[in-house]
Amino acid sequence: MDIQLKKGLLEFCVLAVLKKSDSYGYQIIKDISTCIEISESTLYPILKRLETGTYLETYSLEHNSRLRKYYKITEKGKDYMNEFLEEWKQVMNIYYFIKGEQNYE
Amino acid sequence: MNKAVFLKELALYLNKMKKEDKDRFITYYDEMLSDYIENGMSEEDAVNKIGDPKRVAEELLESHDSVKIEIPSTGSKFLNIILLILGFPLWGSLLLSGIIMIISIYVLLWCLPFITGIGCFGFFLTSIIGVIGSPFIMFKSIPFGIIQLGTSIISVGSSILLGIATVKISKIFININKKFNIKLVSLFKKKVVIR
Repeated sequence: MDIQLKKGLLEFCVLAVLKKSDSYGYQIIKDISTCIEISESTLYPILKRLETGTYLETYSLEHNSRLRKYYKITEKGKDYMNEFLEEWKQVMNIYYFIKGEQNYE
Repeated sequence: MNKAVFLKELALYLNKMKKEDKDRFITYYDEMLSDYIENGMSEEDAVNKIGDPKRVAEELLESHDSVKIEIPSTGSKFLNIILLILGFPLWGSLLLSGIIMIISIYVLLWCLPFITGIGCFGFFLTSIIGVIGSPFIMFKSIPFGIIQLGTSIISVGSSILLGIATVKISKIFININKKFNIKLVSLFKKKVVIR
């Protein structure tokens, strides 16, 4: 898959995971890995970008006598995700159009 | 490689970053590794999964979208070359003395394990000759023979102790060398500023 496309999609994968519940780095990777491959070093810049854009917030909780950073989706993040889904409806239509054309040949 | 070593090396490779950004990366990987270990992975496997600290650092520096690579302004190349040549007596001698100083520090450092190593070898040789020779001396005089055997055994002990010391000191120095080399190399890399 195209790297830029994958990067963009991963952003929404992260948001989708967070929409279900707040989560932390390890868990996010585990959840996303069921669908698309992601490494620790790929996740970090995505989280940073989303945080800078205020699509998510962070807070720390103590876990086993160490701090764990949790990520929480914001309202802006939810809107962002819905926009994406709307946009991709069109993309999917185009996809089916392309697929259909090829089948006719 | 264990977690502490991994984080330490990562910090070294990220030296050019702003401290605040660097600390965030370190905390992030620290948490990630702790979670892997907590979920049943061995420390070694967890570190292996993340990968080589050098590669991770390079990837981080590349993918950080606010990375800005500042290339020092070169101005007129021609002028720079002229100035470089004219200034050679000055910077040449400074560079030379710097290099010589670094080499002499290395030589000085490695003298210590060299001495203990030679000592180890010397005592070992003495003990071998002493042990083999002592029966012959015992034929002539029992007390002298026993003394000879005793000193040989002391030599064996000293040899082993010095051997251990040599290995330990060498390991420490190799570590120091490695860290110093990373720092030295990073001096000549392009300055990267994270905004």
